[in-house]
This record gives sequence, structure tokens and C-alpha cells, in this order.
Amino acid sequence: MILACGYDVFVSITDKDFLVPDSKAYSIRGRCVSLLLQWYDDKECKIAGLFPNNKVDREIFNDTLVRELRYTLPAGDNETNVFSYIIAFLYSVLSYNTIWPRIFNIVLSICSVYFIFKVAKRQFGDTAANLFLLVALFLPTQFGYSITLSRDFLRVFIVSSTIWVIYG
Amino acid sequence: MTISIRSAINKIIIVFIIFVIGFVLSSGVALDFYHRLSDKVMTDIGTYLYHHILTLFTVDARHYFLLPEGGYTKELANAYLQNSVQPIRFPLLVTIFFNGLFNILFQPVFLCLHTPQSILNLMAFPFFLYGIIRYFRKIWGILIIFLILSFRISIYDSGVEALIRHGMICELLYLLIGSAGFASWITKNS
Repeated sequence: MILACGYDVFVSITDKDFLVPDSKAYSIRGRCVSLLLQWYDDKECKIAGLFPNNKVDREIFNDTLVRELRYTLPAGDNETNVFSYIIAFLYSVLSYNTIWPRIFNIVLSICSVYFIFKVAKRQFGDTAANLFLLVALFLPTQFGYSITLSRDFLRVFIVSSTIWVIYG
Repeated sequence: MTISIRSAINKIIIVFIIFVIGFVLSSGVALDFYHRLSDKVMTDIGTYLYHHILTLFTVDARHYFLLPEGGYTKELANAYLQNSVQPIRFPLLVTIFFNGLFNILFQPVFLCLHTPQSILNLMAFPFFLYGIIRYFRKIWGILIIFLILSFRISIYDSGVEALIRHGMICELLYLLIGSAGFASWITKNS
């Protein structure tokens, strides 16, 4: 959590997300969906000063809002859409801060490892389960990417929870 | 002679199922469904494979991917580039599958933050195999999920960074079986 906060501050200062470069697009897309869910339109966004100040951010925002979403909510079973809705929900309920999706990813990562740990405990015993937990919680991928706005943890969570339901 | 209600219902259900199966098989519904499904699956697999072949023949990928030219022929990549689809041969399919599997487990091959992880994966490989042999009857479902996911992700993802990120679930399942194998091995030898 501390690492996520630190990384969030680093990204906001330097404006560079070197771990997952497309994080910004997800964040802005989530922001768009959040605004659309709250019935904002283009003019209201401008009046309320909701357009990002940074030029690149503003272009992505405009692109997403006007060209991609076309003022309608994204539909379909695309993983990106699902993740956008989750980010939008977090932004709407909590606040517009990228720390919330980061915390959400950390929770998903820990839950996924815990589900697999439960499967290991049931199927292979305590030794294998503890060994797995020790290794999996400190894997560079799990540990490093969980502080980003990567949508992969959603997939990891769904697969691990499915396996837990079947084998746990 | 008395027949219970439960037994009568079971018999009716069995007759109904036989009737439905008979209809599906004789009317061509099953055959049509099979053809459509196999066409869809083979088209998707073909698309993924050619995408993978094309990726391996780009200059950057050849520096990063394991076994970049193993089993592939340049003619296939050229055929893909010229939009002339060729039938995928079984040895090629097997080679691409193992290439993808090794890529997803042992990437990155160059020195970076994820190097300790690939070393760990390399060390866990014998225990992974031992775990499969030891617990096959318990984990065959997990193994199938692992193989399908690793095949799909490793074939489709063209960049190393994306491959590492998307392959996290495969890595968890790999380590699950690996730790089970290791725990079983040390328990047996102690």
C-alpha cells in the first residue's frame, strides 16, 4: 500500500508510468465513463473545469469521449470495458484519484493468491500451501504490477476464483 | 409389481433424453454445430499462429524470444505477409506450442527486474514435472486450464512486457504445481 502511494506520487510528479505505460489511458477512460454515468456532457465538463490541464491528457480525454465512446456508455464483454466501469465506479463513489484503482488491484492480487493458497492447502497439504504463499506473494510480477492500473489482475482474479470454486 | 413415482419419472426423463439425442444426431443439427465450431476454432488458432510467426520474424522479437527460429520457416511468414494462407502442419503446431509455453515460463531471457523470477521458474521446472506425475489425478483440470491459458497468451502476445504481465495467472498455476511437487519430494526424502 505504501509502495502504491509512493508510486502514485511518482507518476503524478513525473507524468511517466514506466511499469504499465497504458495506465493513463485506462484512468482517463474510467474518468470519461464516470462522467457519462453522472450525465455530464461536453459543455458541462468545460464549465466545471473537468478537462485535464496537461495537453496529452486532454487529447486522450477528448479522443476517448468524442471518437471512441461517442457520448454513449461502452457496451459488450470486452475486458477493457469492464475495467473502465470498475474504475468509473471507484472514481464516482470515492473520488477522482488514481490511488483507488491501485488499491483495487492490490486487493485483487492478494485475493487471487489467497484463493490459490486455499486450493493448495486442500489438495496438497500445509507444506506446499505455505511454500506457495511465500513465493507467490513476493513474486516481482505480482508485487510490482499490483501497484499499477493494469487490467490483468481482473483476469487473474476470475481464473483463480474459478479454480477455488472447483478445487478449494 | 409396483413402480415408484421416482423410478417412473427417471424412465420418462431417460426416454426423453434418448429422443432428443436421436433428433439432434439424425436431423444434422449436431453435424452443423460441429462444423461451425471447428471452423471457428481452427480459424482463431490459425490467426493466432500466423500472428505469432509474424511477430517472431520481426527484428526486435528475435532478440528477446526464446527459440526464435526453431521449427519455423521463413516461407510461412512470407506467405502470411502475402495473404496466402497455408495449411498448418502438426509438427509446426507442436513446435509453436512448446515455444509459447517456454516463453511464458522463462521470460525474460535478458537481465532485468524479472530475472530472479525466471531463475526461480527454471529451478521449479523439475518439481513442476514431478508434481504433475505425482498429483495428476488431482490436478488434471488445473493442468488443462494452465495449458489453454498459456497457449492463448503466449501465442497472442507479441511483446515481452505484455507477455510477462498477461502470463501472471499461468505463473501462479505453475508455482502451485511446482510447490506441490517440491513439498512432496522433500517429504518423501526426509
